[in-house]
Amino acid sequence: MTLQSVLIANRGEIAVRIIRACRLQGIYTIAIFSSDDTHSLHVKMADECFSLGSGSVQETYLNIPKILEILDKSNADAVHPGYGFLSENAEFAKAVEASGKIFIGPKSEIIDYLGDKIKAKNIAREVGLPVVPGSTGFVHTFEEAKQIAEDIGYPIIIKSAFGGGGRGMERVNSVHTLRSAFEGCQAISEQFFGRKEVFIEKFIKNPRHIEIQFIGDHFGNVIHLGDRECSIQRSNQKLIEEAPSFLDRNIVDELGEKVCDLAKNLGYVNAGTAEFLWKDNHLYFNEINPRIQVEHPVTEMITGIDLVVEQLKVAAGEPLSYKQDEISFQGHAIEFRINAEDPYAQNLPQSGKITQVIIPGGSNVRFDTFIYPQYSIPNHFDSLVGKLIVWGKNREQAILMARNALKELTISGVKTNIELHQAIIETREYQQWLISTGFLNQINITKILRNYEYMKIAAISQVFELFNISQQNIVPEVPKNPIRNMWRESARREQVR
Amino acid sequence: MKKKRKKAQIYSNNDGEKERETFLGKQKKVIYHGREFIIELLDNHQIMIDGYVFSPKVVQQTENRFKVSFGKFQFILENINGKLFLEGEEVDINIKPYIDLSKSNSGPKIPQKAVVKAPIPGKILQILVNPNDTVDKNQEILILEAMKMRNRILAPISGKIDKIYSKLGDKVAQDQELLTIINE
Repeated sequence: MTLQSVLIANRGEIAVRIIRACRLQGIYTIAIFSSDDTHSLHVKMADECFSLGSGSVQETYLNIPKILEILDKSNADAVHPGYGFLSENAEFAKAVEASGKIFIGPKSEIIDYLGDKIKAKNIAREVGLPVVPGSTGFVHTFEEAKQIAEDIGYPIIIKSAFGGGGRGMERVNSVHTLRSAFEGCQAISEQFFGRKEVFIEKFIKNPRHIEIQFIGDHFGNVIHLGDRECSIQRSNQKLIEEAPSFLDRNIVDELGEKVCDLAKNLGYVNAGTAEFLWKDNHLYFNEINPRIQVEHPVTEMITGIDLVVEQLKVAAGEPLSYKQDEISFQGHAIEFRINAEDPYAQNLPQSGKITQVIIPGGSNVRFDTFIYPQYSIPNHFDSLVGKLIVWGKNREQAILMARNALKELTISGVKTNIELHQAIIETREYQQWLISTGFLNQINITKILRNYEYMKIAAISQVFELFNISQQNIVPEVPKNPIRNMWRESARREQVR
Repeated sequence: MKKKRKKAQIYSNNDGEKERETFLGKQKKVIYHGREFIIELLDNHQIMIDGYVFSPKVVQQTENRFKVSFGKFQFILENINGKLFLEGEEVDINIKPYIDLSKSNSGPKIPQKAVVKAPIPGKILQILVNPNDTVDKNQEILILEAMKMRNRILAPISGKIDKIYSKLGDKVAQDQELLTIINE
C-alpha cells in the first residue's frame, strides 16, 4: 500500500521537514496547530490544517484525545509525530494503531519497552554492547538509592526511567544532596512523563556523545547509517552535531552491526538512534531514541539518503531502499542549532517578531527553519528557530563552510545564538576536535563573545567618529511630502473620474 | 510582545551646532545592550575599550551602510529608517561622558539599588535567596522556567536582598519586578 495522506502531529522546523518529504512522495499533508501557531509556516505549507485551539502545550500538541479526534475526522492514513511532543509516547502510538491508522515510528510495544531505560540497557547487554554501571532496576526508596550509590561510587546521576531530553536528570556528588535530588527527580518525572520511577547510574564526567542511526523495515531488514557526534551541549541540550564522529571506522562498523542486531532482536521497524557515551577509550550504551532526531540532516548529508522519505516508505510497508553494503559515507557534515537565545545574557530565550532573515546559500549549505520575516516567535515552545547544516570534503572544509555560512546567516528582530556558534568554531579545542559534553563549561566562550562585543562597540564608535554621526542624522528627517495613503489616493481618483 | 529599545544616540555637550563632535582623548561610558564599557578614542583611529586596543577600518561606505573591518572579522552597520543595525541586530547604545570616580575620591558612597525584573515571561521555579541575605554580583538568585528551560537569574549587583515581590510558582510577565537588592 502507499500512503495517501499524513497528519503531522508537530510544529516548527520538523513539521516543515516532514511536509517536504511527503511532497516528494506525493502524499497529501495535514497540519495541526495551536492558536499561537496560526501563522506558523507548517500550517501555511500543509494541504489541510486543523486547529488544536488555544492553551498550553498540554492542551494542544500534547493533547492526545484532541489529536485522535482530528485524526478520526481527517482522511489521514498515518501520523508522523516528528521529535519531542508525542513522538515517544507509547500510549499515543497505541491509540493510533487501534484506530486502524499508521503511526510512523516503531510499534507502540517497542516504544513502551525502550521507554523503560532499564529494559533498554538489558537488551543492549544481550547483544554485547557495554553499558554504564548502575542500578539494574528501578530505585524506589532513598535507602535503596543510598546503597547503590555507595556500591558504584559517587558521583552518580539520577535519571527518570521513562523520561527523555535530559529532563529531571540530576548529578549527585555526595550523600548530602542525594535525598533532595532523588525526590526532585521523582517529582519532575511524575509531572512530565507521568511515571515517577527513577534509576541510578555512575556519573561519567564530560563524556563525548556518540550515536548510531539505524532504520528497519517490516521484513526484518535493519541497516545502520553510520555515526554522529553531539558532544557540544549546553545544560544537556545539544547545540552542534556532526557526522561522522571521531571514532575509528572499524569500531563504527562493529557498533553499527551490534545496534542492528539489537534492533532485529526487538523487531524494530522505522528509524531510531542508539546513543553512546565515550570516555577514556571506553564506550557505554546509553539509550535508544525511537524517533527521528533533530540532528538527522548530518547523516543525510554524508549518506545522501532522505531519512524522512525512508520513514514514510517503511511505514507504508515497503522494504528499505538500500542494503547495508550500498551505504557509503562521504565527507563531513555539521549542524548548528540556531536558538532564539541571547548568548550575552545567560542564554535567556527570546520571543518577538522576526523582521529580517538572510539565509546563507551556495552548494552544500542547508537551512531548515520555519521562521520568515514578520513571523512572531511564540513564547511557550522551545527556542529552536532553525538548523544550519553544512557539508565539506573533510572536517576542516566543513568548518570553513560553517564559518562563512554563520557569517551570512542574519536573523533580525529576535536575538539568536549565532555568535555563540561563531565563537565555538573559532576555539582551538573545537578545531582540533578535542571536545566533550563539558566543552562549554571548560572553554571560556564568554571571553570570545566579549571580544566580539568590544569589536562591535569599536565599529560603532569608529563610524560615529569618522562620519560625524549623531542623533540628528540617525533619526530620519520628516518627509516634506508625506506619502499619500494609497487607498485614499485611489478613492480620490475614482471621484475625479 | 513589545520590546523596549532605545534609539541609538550620542549624548554630547557640544554647544556649537556645526561643530564636529569628537571624543578624542576623552573617556566615555558606553552602555551597550544594557552592559557597561569604558571607551577612549586614541590617535591613529584606534579605540580602547576596557583597556583593549582595536584598530577598526571602515572598508565600505554607502549612503546608509558601513562595513567595518578588524582583519578576520567584519561588521556591517546599517541605518534603516533612522534606526541603527549592526549585523542585522538593532543597536541599543548610549554614550555618556565618564568621570572616573576611583580617581576623584569624592565624598561618601551613594547607596545603589537594583530592581531585578523578569527578563522573559515565565514561572518562578525556585527562589534561592531570602530577604536580608547578602548576595554577590552574578550570584544565582532565582530560577525562572520559560520555553521549557530553567533560566538562571543572577544578581546584577552585590548587596543585600531588600524585598522579594514574587513567590514560588508565580507566573510572571516580562519586566515584572521580582525583587530588589540594596548596596549600602
